[in-house]
Amino acid sequence: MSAQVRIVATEVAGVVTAKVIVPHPNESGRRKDELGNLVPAHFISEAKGSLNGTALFEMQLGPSVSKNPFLQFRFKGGKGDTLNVVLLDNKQNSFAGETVVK
Amino acid sequence: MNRRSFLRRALLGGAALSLIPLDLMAAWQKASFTDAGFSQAMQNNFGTTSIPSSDKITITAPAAATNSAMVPVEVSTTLKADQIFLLVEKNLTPLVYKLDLTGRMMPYFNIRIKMKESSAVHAVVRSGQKYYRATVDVAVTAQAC
Repeated sequence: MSAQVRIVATEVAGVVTAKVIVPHPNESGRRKDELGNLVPAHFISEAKGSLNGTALFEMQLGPSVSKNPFLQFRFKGGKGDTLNVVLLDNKQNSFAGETVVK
Repeated sequence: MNRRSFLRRALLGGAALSLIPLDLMAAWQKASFTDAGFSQAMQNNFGTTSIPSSDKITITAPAAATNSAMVPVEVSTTLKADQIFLLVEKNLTPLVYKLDLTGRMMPYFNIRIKMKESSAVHAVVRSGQKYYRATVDVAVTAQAC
């Protein structure tokens, strides 16, 4: 699990729009493979965002999120702020990404 | 305390300790993400199945999704929101996400979701300890899951 979380954050008029893409299979646990076996659930279940070390948002996600989860959100901030996003899947693997707002 | 009772207690204590972290780590609320149907999911998350709808919440989603494995759903509101929920009525796990916002966050969230079949999509916003709802129908033309 070395794939990197990708984050892009751009500021326009004091509002930062951030896009996060996490490379992850996000299996719901309901899908069957070619042999008809259930693919075990493996999905991002938690996400946390912080700006310059201060909490921004916290969320819980279910198995209905698409493969390679894409999240987009907005917050008040400026250029040069550091946005950090940490994600956790249901197998306790954690993924993190950090970017500087442009 | 003799050796035998010490060992027995240590064993019991160890067994009890090993159970605690499981509970603490369960930050992911299983009840919220119930697969017992939409009304149960509403009950578990909001304590009620009837939430007043509000025209101050906007859901932007395609009326007809060609790829049900990747349906973009955008929620925004002019209410002062501190929580946003997204639910797909006919998905096996209706709740898609539960988002807690701090004051710096704009009440806006965009995500790509999977849909089992054509369904109503509900966004629930908590504002001032009250819940408000908006609903759109999304038709799925090609099924993926």
